[in-house]
Amino acid sequence: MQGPKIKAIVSGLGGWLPPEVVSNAHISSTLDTTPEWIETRTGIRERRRVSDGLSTRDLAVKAGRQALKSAGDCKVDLVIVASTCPDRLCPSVAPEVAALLGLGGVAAYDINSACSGFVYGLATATGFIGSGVAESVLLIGSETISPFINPADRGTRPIFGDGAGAVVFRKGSEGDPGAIGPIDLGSDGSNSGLIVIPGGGARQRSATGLGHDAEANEDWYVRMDGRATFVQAVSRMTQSAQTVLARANWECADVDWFIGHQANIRILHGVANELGLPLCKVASNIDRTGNTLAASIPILLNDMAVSGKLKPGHRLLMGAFGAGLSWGSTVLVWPDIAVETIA
Amino acid sequence: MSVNLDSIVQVIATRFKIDASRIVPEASFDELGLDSLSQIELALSLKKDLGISISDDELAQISTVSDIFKMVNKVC
Repeated sequence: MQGPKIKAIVSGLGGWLPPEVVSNAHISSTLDTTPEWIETRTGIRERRRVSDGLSTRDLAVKAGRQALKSAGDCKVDLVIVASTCPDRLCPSVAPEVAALLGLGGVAAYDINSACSGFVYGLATATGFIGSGVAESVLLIGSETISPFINPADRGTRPIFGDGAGAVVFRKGSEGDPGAIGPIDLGSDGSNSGLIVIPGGGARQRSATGLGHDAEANEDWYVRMDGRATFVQAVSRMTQSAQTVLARANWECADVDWFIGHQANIRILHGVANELGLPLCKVASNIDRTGNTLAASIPILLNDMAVSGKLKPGHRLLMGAFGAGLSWGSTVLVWPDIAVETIA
Repeated sequence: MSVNLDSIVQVIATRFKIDASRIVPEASFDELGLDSLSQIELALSLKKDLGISISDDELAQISTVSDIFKMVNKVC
């Protein structure tokens, strides 16, 4: 007789934002925009920015340490850092993060699926635990996007912010609170140009004489076709959410919170409208974080848990969309875990 | 198939929480307090509520309620 399926269970949570706050007023003082324009079109009032040399590694360590503490300082077998903003092209940052967290020689590597990175990382952690290769995984979404933003681009500068969030997964059984439910992932590389940082990689180096003539220019900054991205985001996130709801045998009415990637409040509301989900079930902290890419979902979960809005037993629909294009969704019932206040 | 103005007014009123009496044919997006993203949001609602698909190029030509009515009846 077959026993219960092995599942990845959420057992720890952490989040950290760098202290420097960048307001809409500050951005409007140097760009052709206004605080009201930014807020009505994005839902963002302020975002955080790294300073004093902080980078993706440092933010990851801060959030990872909180998540490990939240999980009772358990041992982990694997550290995955999901990031769009690597500290360097090589090596990946996860081994350094693991070492700084005192985790010794555990397996560690990075993944990059941009704003979908946390959901892709969650799927990866689920696979490692389900296959028996790992019994516990620390997944960290960590992003230092501000050095990749063109200060003169009003289409991207108001949107993005820096931060990190982390979740510990442990081995458990189907039906346990915190068990990751069905997962849907997808991509569309034919639209890879909608959100892109063209410079710095092999393609640019090869095209410019193996890199010897490559110079830093606007290709090293994020470019985004905001309008086309908006349309794709609402469409892909809606379809993906419907897929996992159907696989989990959940109705929309069963969902207590839609935990969506914090790209733009109007994208999140657009998805909710398409799903027939009341806007009061759309969880959001984008007003004070901006879009923190792969870090946004765990930062949001931590904010929600710390504020008491997220309670054990709540049913969560989680969804993300980002560059690639890539997207993913899952569902879970929130477990009873300890959390600490975000700095 | 044709779509009457009242159906379109209802979609706009519901999606953007605007009093239907303000949604007259000559009203512009600006006058209704709607912005460029609202065009996309309206297209999504027209598709969901009335089953009508409007392309991004077609959307770019819309600036009044009357434009929406004409566009919807051109594509459906």
